[in-house]
Amino acid sequence: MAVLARIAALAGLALVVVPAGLYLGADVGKSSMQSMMLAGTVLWFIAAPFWNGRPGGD
Amino acid sequence: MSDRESAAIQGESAEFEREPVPERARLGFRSFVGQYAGEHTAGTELMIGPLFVAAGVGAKDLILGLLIGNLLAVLSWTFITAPIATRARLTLYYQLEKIAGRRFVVFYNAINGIAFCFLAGSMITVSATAVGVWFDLPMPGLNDLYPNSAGWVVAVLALGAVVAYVAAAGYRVVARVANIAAPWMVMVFVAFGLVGLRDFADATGTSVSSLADAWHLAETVIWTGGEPLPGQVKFTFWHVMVFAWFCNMAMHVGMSDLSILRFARKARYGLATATGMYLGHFLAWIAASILFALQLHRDPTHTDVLPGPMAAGAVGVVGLLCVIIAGWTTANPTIYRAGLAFQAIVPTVSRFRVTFATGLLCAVAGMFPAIAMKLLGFVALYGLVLMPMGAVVFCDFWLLRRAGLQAYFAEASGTSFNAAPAIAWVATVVLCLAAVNAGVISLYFASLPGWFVAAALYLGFSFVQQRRYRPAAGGL
Repeated sequence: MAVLARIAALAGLALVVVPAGLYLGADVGKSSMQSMMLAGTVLWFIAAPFWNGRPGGD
Repeated sequence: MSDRESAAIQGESAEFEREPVPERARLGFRSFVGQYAGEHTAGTELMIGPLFVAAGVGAKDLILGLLIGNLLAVLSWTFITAPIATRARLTLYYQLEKIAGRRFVVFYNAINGIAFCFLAGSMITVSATAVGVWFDLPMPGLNDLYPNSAGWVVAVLALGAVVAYVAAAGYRVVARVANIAAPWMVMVFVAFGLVGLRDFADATGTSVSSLADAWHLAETVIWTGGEPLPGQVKFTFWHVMVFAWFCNMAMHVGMSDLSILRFARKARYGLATATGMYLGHFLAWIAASILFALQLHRDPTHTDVLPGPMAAGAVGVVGLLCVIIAGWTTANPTIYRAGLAFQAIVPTVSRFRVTFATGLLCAVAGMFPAIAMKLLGFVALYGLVLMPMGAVVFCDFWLLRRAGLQAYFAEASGTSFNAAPAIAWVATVVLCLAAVNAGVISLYFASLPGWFVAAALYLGFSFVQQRRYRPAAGGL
């Protein structure tokens, strides 16, 4: 469970920052970027509390 | 960081408040990495970054000033605060009580609590700018001193009341939310910068395909230097460097973080503060300032520093969530700490009532945009006012015994009010503010000579005071 939560949480963080990098490279549009960031945010806040049983981790 | 660790280093626990932290309760390096990264990526970063642009700073001055100033801050924590924290292992308040006496600490707590209220008020102001976007409220301008609409007042008071209640009733819940949110907030701040750069490139018709391109854009369009906006002080390299160094002066040179670093196993753990400085006070400030520079580039008359609309324009709903959460999670512990400071003055009133009343006071302060819009000056003043007691603690710990004087004088002599640190504190603040008002020195630089003034005054008055004092055998 903790491993899955960690993977999901890291994927959520990646979904927050990677789309912004892609937007900088003009590879995605602004609305797509914003949608992906919102999805990443939801994923992070669902998964992070279960990360290793320690909210927020170290 | 575990809840227990978090509670311990945030001082929630009543343990060890009047005794040295024992070996079993000491924490490793990683605990402080997380603590400082979270604490210094805050809602106020969204105000400070734009205010650099408003101050007319140049790109080279900003980057170099932040790199060096933040390094000096980290070194201050590591070589000034941490060595005392890991030797004495006492809170600042208990050390001050030993040095200056119980009655003095009550007075110091009052000043500290008021400063915390204003700081928390500015964090509520930041969050309210995001609420204002949702409800399309008229929001304050860069040079506004007073609230400019009933909607703004209602938004700040409503938000402030919620924050105050949570700080009083559910502090631990928000502390957990803050721990969870911290890595996400850092990523959103990075996104602010990346999106701002792209939008700048589009607005100017340039391409950003390398670091050289980004630097060219930074120098020629984003941080161009030149005149500050009306009502703002012009910032040079020296202003940026000293501001970055002294932004948390109350915590390092002012010794507030004795209370946190007393849990560190080794003094070198003070280096963990680099995460907070270079994520929050470098990366986040730069990202936020890019968004404001973009706003000015698009409309030079639009000088209002409003984090909510800027964040929403860059990354949409996620930006608004970031502004609200960043302001809320950092206002919460600040209100809690202010409440604790005030509770020391009225110990018979419950912590809930004191903290809730403190939170409401913060909300009233947050209604006045002057505090947030003049945050650079307020932060410098806050550091200046609390800095002298750091000089007193430093001298008392390292120098007094070497000078043949009694350290922890209040405790040794049994007095509840030691005049030497009190005079050193008040005289230093008065002298520094008089020099600032007379135009001799800028508010942003006054704390540096002020520290030496405070140290000299404390040593001098201690010498005069203790000429006829004979410490008991085996004393401190």
